[in-house]
Amino acid sequence: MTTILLPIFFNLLTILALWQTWRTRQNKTAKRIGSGLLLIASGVLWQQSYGAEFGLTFLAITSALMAMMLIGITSEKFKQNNRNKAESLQTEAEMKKTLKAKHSNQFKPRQVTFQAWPIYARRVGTFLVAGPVTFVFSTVICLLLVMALPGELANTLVIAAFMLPIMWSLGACWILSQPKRIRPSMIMAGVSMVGSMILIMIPTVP
Amino acid sequence: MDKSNNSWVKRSLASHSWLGLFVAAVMFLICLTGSFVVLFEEFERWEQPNVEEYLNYSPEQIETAVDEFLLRVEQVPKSLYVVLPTKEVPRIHIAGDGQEWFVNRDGRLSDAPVEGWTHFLKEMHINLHLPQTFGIIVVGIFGAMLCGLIVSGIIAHPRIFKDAFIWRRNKSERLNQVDLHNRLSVWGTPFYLMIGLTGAFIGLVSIFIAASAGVFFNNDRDAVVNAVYGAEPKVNQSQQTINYSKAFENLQQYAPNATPIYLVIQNKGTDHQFLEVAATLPGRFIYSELYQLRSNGEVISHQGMSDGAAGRQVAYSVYRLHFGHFAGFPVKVLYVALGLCLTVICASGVNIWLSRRKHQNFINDLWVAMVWGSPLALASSMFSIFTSVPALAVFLVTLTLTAITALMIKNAITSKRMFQLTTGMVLLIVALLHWQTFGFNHPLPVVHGINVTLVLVGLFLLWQARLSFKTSKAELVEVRSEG
Repeated sequence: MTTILLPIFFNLLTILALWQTWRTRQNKTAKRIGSGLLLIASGVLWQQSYGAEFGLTFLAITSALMAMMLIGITSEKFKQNNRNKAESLQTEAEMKKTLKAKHSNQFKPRQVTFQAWPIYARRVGTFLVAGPVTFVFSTVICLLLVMALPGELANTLVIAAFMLPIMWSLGACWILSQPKRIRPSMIMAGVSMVGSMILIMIPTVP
Repeated sequence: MDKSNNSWVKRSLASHSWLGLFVAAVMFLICLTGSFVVLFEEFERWEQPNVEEYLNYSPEQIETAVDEFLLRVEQVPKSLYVVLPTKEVPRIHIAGDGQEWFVNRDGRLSDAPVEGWTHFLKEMHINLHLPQTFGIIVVGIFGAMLCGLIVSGIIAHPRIFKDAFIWRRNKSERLNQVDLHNRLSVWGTPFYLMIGLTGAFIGLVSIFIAASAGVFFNNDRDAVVNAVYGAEPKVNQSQQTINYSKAFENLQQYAPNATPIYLVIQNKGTDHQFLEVAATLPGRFIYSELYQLRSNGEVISHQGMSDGAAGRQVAYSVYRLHFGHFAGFPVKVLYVALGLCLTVICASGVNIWLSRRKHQNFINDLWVAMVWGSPLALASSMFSIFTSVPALAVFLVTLTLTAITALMIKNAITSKRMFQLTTGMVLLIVALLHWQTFGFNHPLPVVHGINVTLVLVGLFLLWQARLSFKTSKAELVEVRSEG
């Protein structure tokens, strides 16, 4: 029983300490260090109870759920405080106006506007181009990685297989974030071509 | 914040929003079904509760089952699987070449596993009911996009630490959704990243294998698979009769910590016949270690899934890590909770975009139909357990009907309330029908566990719908009295 209760207890302490650090305005450094130490301690306890693989996963999962629960609990209080504050600040007329606006919007006939459609179409077009371009780019880079990385083939293949989705998604995000998307797409296409030529010229088992 | 930093954040936010919008609906469905797929073993038992369950098995029992299986099939399969009972699924089943039966305590074969609602749910998550390989790749692409969304979301969130514990529920609906989206996202980041990465690996590995085979192995895909997972041993002049008791005895000595989960008779009836036993090891994510034994029970070797190259161990660990099938039932519950959080993140992401728009149109209605119609469609598809109607057909018809209803109602709040109400009622009816069909005093606790959960979730949804109705009514009365 202690094998599970002790890490959970320390995990809870860590989240509470992080919350306390977040709330406080002074002496943040000391509290941050304290929270960090508690986090390490709970990680060690999880690891001792369940091994490195399970332990780290439990630490991530339980920390997330505890923090979410804390946010949920404290938000109620926050909600109440703010409501009181809002009620004292807002006049009755203002509140009714907000309420009326909400309901008039709710029952208003739906507008069919086509103003934004060209923007949507352009974005979809960009996505449809950026997706394949970045995919080819990341596949070529990952295959080059297999050739370049030292060590056992099983390791390099698996590293590259994990790198593929990461590079692809980040590449797609990067292109989508650019104001002018043609240039980065062209650069990626160019690099893919050069990389493909290298792969064709050296067709050996790494 | 300086100007360049600000524009970087803005651009990241733009790419995060657009990428999120492109993938939202399908991502929502994948996350929602994925949250429930974690419990597929429990659902399978619940769906077919009359199969004999036990944890102990004997070599004689396996022998009888294999003999009866071979009598039933026309052709001897190259690989014959005997899946052994575990705490999670205390049932034995035997399978080969697409044919499968459960095994009774005496070794005789009983019913075939049904490909019903749980199968539909798994297929929906794994390949969206698209053709097998293509579907897995499509879902893998969504896994990759999830990774991109996580990273771009973090970059687009400069107040990540300042707002770490804020949830402004009483301010505007948009702030409520923004805080919900950000808090759930930030705290669950390691988990979601792990889910996205392992999902993308499972989905896209076939493309990578094809590309690597083309470049490095003269299009020999098996060579790539063997390089990562290891090759089968070459066995010659093996005896025909398999000595199961000797095999289990030797395995116990060879790997005392290993718990067998299934065994495979490879190349049955040929000179190259051998036995492969998959066994879990305590504290490890690897799906199993594979132990190879001769027909006389002598251990040949093991595949090195647990102690081979790090890459092999990692590649063989993705399944359990992705589906939460390790360390028992409590972990599954945690996975369901965080999976549902990810589903809420998908929904709230689009809600933020919708609330930012100056107007409302059919997209609002369709999104409500997607978010609240999908659980209703999933719940309705459970009726396929009691009828011969396919679950997929029920799901698609229900989802279409919810979309039509939402478009006709033209009010997101009313549509949501209506779908909550209907889902709640459907869940209650499913639970009652299940109890009625399989008995209120069924001996399997899992049956009652799932039925009680369905009842509780159903009641919660009914309560939510009622609460929403009361609030809206009170607000409406106030507005009318004012107007």
